[in-house]
Amino acid sequence: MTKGKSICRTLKGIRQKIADANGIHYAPRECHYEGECEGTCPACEQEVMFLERELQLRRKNGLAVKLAGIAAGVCAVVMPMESVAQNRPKAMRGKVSTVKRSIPATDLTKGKADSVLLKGIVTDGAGEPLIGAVIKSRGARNCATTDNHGMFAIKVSPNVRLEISCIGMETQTVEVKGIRNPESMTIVLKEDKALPGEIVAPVPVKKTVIVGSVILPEEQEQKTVSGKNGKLRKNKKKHK
Amino acid sequence: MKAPLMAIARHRIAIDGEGVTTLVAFHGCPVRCRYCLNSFCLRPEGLRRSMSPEEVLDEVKIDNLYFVATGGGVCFGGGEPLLRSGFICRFAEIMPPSWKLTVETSLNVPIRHLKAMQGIVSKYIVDIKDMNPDIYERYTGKDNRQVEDNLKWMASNGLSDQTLIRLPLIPGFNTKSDRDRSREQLREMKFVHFDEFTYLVPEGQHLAGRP
Repeated sequence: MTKGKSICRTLKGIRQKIADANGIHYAPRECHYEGECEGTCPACEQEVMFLERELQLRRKNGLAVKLAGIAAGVCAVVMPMESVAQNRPKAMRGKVSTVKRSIPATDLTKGKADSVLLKGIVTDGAGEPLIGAVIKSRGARNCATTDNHGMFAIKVSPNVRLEISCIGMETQTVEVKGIRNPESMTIVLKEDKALPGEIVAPVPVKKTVIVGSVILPEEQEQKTVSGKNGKLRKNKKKHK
Repeated sequence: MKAPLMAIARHRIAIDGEGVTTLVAFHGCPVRCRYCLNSFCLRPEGLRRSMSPEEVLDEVKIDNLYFVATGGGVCFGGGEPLLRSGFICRFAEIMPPSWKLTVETSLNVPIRHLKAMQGIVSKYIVDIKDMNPDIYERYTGKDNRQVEDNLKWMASNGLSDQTLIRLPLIPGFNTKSDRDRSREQLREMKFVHFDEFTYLVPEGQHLAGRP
């Protein structure tokens, strides 16, 4: 799953939560668009506007609207994981990336001394990292979430059972005692077939590239340079 | 009041603070980092738009539902967002009160900009590079006295708990020992949230920042 698709799925999950919390009938249409997208598209935006209208209608009718924080926990605080430095001197030409190697461990033990450190990645069946997957002790309220590379680091009590969930995926549980590689875990979640598909994107979304912590239009990154045979060609930088 | 902007990036999930956020990146920066990630913020071609707080609000409010439902909001980055403190204050006045504001800053700005953020910003993400003045100057071309003064002011005004300090390991400029020293110095100042990571630079492309 591409990053754009992953964002799309997360946003769709948030929309579903808003609709469910307010008794709005909402059924996302299936998305058959296979290219990279930015995580939203005109069809997605229409669904947002539909929800806005429905909520406005409820407010006008004097009904309470549940919105603040109802999808909190879908996302968490992490830092930009990967970016590309462009302002480098000649000696540094080529791709220079800053990649975060470690993430801060979230303490789920409520300060208990007896704890184990668990690190790893949560992916889907195809090995693609899942952003915003929730990891928590079963029955507990506090949780950690995976960053935008699907990575997590948590401190937990050794006697608990972990619950790993993600919108659109089946929840999985893991016994901490049974974990063999506590600092290099790979948790694979199966797709939840019961959920509706993704939104149809009728208009292909303009591609962008990520530069540092901002997104800039792709054409800004294209430079015309001479090819081997003297013809002009487009030199498109690759960005992760 | 208009400010020069590099970009407005939507749907940054789990990147710039809690929830779904939109990054508003300002043009212009006081430091000159040798491995700069957003050098467009220093170059004329990086200035894409000039917008007022009202215009920015008009553009980002499309994601109001996501912001409110996830506890997210707007992250001001750049460039150096605190140089545009007046803009951020005005934006905070007109935005929906349930949105959260985050600033991603070098803190190398006059303290009046930082003071103007009190009570407005929910989270500060501070990239201190390194606390050692020599390392800082070699890497950024500036001295870090202002950064240190601002950090002390933040700690003494109870902002340390809502501050995440970035501690990068910068090849050719600092070492793990340097970073450990920075962390200890910051711990003594009562900062508790750190984000340690490493800049990966391909073989042969390191800058010789150390003597």
